[in-house]
Amino acid sequence: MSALLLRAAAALLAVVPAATAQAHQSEAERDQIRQQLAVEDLRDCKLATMERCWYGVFGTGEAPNRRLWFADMKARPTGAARDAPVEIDVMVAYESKTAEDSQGNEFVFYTLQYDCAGYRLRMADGYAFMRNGKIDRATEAGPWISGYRPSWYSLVEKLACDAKVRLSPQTHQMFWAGDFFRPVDLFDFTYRYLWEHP
Amino acid sequence: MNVGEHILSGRPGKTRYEIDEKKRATRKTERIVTKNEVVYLFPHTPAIDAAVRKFGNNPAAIATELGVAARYKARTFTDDDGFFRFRGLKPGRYLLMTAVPYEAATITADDTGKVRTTTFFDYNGWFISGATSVSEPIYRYRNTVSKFDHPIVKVVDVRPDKPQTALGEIE
Repeated sequence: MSALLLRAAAALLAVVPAATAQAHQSEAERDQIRQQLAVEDLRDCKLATMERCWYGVFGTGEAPNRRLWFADMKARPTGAARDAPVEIDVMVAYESKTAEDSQGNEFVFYTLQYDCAGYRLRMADGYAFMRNGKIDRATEAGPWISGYRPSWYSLVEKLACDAKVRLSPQTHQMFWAGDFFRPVDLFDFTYRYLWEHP
Repeated sequence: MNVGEHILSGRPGKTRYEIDEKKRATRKTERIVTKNEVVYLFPHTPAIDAAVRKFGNNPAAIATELGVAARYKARTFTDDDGFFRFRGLKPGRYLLMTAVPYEAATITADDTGKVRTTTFFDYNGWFISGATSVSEPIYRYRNTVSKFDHPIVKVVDVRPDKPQTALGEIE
């Protein structure tokens, strides 16, 4: 059984123990479990135990119009060559939710490819999850672009191209957000718990 | 679990009954919902199907049999009124797992550390032919409130022709 499966099993065992008097938890223990779930695997991503490892890397704006950028530390090379582009997923969460703006984005999910040696990037895939629940998906990969520094692209570039940054994100002012497999769950978590909307 | 446009919602709950001395449920009932509890959704695989058939409503046992589906779990939380909502789902079958913590009045037996010894004598007419001693711990009983978890395991269908699947109150 893989370590991931054991971890999932352990998490579920912690959350839903058998309904016996022996297994019941105190409120303090329950709080501790919630805390563990919230900061599950609060560590760097050198261990391949998570499908995803989201860190908040950048933010702008004031409530109720904040924006947060999350990057999945599980960057992966696109080929066997040493200088093969590195692929990394990014989610941009938008706070504002107004009825008039039903065509607006709740979040945009990018799969970016960085050519680390060439200092250029392109969007390999992506979609926008709109406020009306519809999905606007990119139909094709974008062109390679350069000259994107300084911007949030360059922060993500550090993650994609510099293993040292990936292994110590908190020393680069990045915060752990969770291991949500689906970006939409990460957005809902952000909207409710980080931005404190009901 | 790729992104889609379907929504699944529900409200996990537990009906708490008052139990009388003869262990019968009385008419006094109370509906309990929970807040900020984690709700998991797994893609329904043959391994999960077999685990549900084998273990029924035992999430801890099923969790050991999730296999590859464990990697692709969706996760959300119930709100202050006990409701949850998964967005961005693709149509298909899923396994939903969560728990409803609740409290119930119980009687707790505290071990006093003392032992009561009772001796039984066997008589043969007027004569004692044998004796048996039985020792048992002495308990002190008190009324307490204990915490329990009501597990919820449910296979749900998100149909292609139904953009919103509302499970309502589930137990």
